[in-house]
Amino acid sequence: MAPGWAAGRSLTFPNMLRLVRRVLFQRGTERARLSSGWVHRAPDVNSFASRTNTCGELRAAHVGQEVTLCGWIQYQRQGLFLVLRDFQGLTQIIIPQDEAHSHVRKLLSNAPVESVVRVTGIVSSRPPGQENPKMPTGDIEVKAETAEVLNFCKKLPFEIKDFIKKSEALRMQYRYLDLRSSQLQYNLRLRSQVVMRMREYLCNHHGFVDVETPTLFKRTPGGAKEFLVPSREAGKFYSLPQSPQQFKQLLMIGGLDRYFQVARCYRDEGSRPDRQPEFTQIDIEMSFVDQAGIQRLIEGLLQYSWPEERGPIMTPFPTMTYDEALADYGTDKPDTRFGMKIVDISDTLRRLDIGFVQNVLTYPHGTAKAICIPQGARYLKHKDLESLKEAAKSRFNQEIMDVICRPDGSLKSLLTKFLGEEQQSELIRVLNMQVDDVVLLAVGDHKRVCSALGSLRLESADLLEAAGMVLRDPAALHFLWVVDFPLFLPKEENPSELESAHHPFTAPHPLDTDLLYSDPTKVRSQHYDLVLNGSEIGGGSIRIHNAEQQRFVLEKVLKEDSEVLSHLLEALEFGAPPHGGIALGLDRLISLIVGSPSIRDVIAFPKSFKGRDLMGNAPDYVTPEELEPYHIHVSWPAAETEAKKN
Amino acid sequence: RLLAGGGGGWSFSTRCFSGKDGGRRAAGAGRGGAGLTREGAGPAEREQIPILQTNSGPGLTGLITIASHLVKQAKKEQLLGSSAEEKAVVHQWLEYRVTQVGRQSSREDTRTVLKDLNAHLEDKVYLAGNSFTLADILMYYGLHHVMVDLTVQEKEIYLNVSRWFNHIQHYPGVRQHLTNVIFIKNRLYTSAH
Repeated sequence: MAPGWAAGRSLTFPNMLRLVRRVLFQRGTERARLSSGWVHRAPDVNSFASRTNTCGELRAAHVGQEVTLCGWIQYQRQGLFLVLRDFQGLTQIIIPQDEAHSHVRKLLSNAPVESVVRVTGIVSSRPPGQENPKMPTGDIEVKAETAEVLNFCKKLPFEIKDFIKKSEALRMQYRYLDLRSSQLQYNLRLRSQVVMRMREYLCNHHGFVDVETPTLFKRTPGGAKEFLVPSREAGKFYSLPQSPQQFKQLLMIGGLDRYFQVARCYRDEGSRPDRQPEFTQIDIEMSFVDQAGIQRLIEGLLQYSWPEERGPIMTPFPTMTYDEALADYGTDKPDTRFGMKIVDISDTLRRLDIGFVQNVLTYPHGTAKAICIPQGARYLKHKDLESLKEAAKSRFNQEIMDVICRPDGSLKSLLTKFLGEEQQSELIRVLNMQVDDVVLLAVGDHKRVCSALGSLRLESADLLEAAGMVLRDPAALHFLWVVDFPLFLPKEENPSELESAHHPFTAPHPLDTDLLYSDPTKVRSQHYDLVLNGSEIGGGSIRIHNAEQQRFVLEKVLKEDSEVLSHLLEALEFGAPPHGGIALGLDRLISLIVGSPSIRDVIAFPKSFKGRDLMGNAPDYVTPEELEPYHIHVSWPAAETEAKKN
Repeated sequence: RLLAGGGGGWSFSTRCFSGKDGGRRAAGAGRGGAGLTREGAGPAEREQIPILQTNSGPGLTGLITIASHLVKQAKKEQLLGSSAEEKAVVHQWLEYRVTQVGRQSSREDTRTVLKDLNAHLEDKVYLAGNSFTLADILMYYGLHHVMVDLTVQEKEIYLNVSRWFNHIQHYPGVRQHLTNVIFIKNRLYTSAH
């Protein structure tokens, strides 16, 4: 047999059955069917409503029936027919032309687009040749007998039809109109169904308890990004939580065994763009569990909840350590859909007689690394390369050198005068360079070099794809667990001080507990991140359940005031079980499932990129009288005081 | 989609654990963890036994059982064979699939399987004769990892298996995300059978 013999790469029975199921039940993909997706019985969407059917469900089988439809006028051909729309689809309504129905004709002809009407009529087949194969209801039309305009619509600020491009700000301001578009309808309904599946899996299949934790709490250490809520006690404020972290641990200590919540979390990012101040997490915590247990749970959860048309999901997900991720991909959330991994070329360059290279390589973390952009010379322009190098300089303070492989196999670079024949061949071999490939190389501190190259790797991929190369399969699902993070990292502002890489409650790796006392920077944590196609969709950890260890971490390593966490520390002393958990970013997850670049498209009423609600105009001023019970005065910045005076 | 056709009241989720204790840990009996692969199970140990969780009634166990059940739910019973003889032949190959073609097969075992199949497929289009059945589907998934690694010469030696495999992998909807195995149409090695 061939040397690559791999009995281990065969399909497991469960994964095999998932494939079999898809073969057996495959049909064309159709968004309109989403509502009857995985549910036990198709839900009765017409219950309690004054309609008999939706605008999406009538078919040839209904011909002859009298139906009542309610919906919005999508389009009107003056007095002849109109297209009625609701959340499930479109139906063609024929306006009666005869004298007996002249009042119906008058009513419907005069109703503006997007008016809400109720129509009763008989379902008929469309005349031969007039069927519309692209429309689910394309075989039929409804001959209106009676009609009622339930509400008129005034002149719209823009057209509802999908293909009209609208400005983002206008869409935000009229969000309720934007919600009528089929894309947003699909996104929100899919989100609802995915969450429903998650509840089924967690509660019904695995006995989780859904608990709502408080949203009015108090500031936590390191909680600089928390929104404050005034209280009537002078000088005292509530705080909106960034996550239910403390409460989920307390629930475990309270014996709930396994908890989950679709939790609203709040983060005051200040002026950071493209961040929603409130977002949703699927928050999970379990007792008597280890890392592997949580990982298998999440794999099963995602497998069960993933929409059929975007699946299937193969488990288990591959795992990578933090060190590997950083060294090979330059980031703690690698996009493994394509290669272009970072290659270490320290040994090759070590032998060169270049002063600064030699110098850097003598330092403890000094290194030389490179990435190889395939066909870079053909797909990228000179200015693309320059902008890549510029980006590395400005964002990472890292110099980048480029090497191009000419058609004759020789190398073109500022370095070539230092490279002998043999060394050029070695570089080509080590990086597996082909003709027209472009290599970007960097020399310096390991972390900085890798981060810079990692960032350029992603930017190059974007540039290659923009220039027409097929690099990353948009339908591919590359999940990845990243593990073995360091427990502590030096603070950015002050590298002599330490802060938690994840949060202060994360447990150290059991083999590293001694290092906690002797050399905390070397301690690995029990923190795990879940990455999908290069985006982080979840993160969690096994927690510290020993009060003494927790107090030590807080006071001695992080130098935080443990007084504010005294309730949690005391709770750990009253028989806390071993526990751990994870939180999945629901908005990010849904946006990846539907293929939307922004999480705003999966949230019903998102904030603008400055964190404002453009529709309702929030945040807004309050009067000094309203502030009085909270013992607060506004201290206006100088510029605004001037503006208010004028 | 899975259930809209069937109209029954069940949901599909597989939970599986290693057959270390002879199978049959009670599905959903509240054992800790997600009920998936047991701790300490290495890649070379026994095959995971799949369980179909139904909301009403007990779960179904076993690859063939669950696959056959799905076929009936999908109202595609012809995939299990039309006549009594055909049904028996399909079942025979399903049994063969589970007993002889496992993840832990040695090279020797796999060679035997390929020989058996090659002989059987000499005068047949599909495993059950002239119709595409569940036996072809499950044998395809079971053998994919083997076929992927065969050399050009080996693919020629097991010529009938190659012909059958290439046919099945092109069947609509079967291959999905699995890699397409390349088969060269011209003989390179053997001039005679």
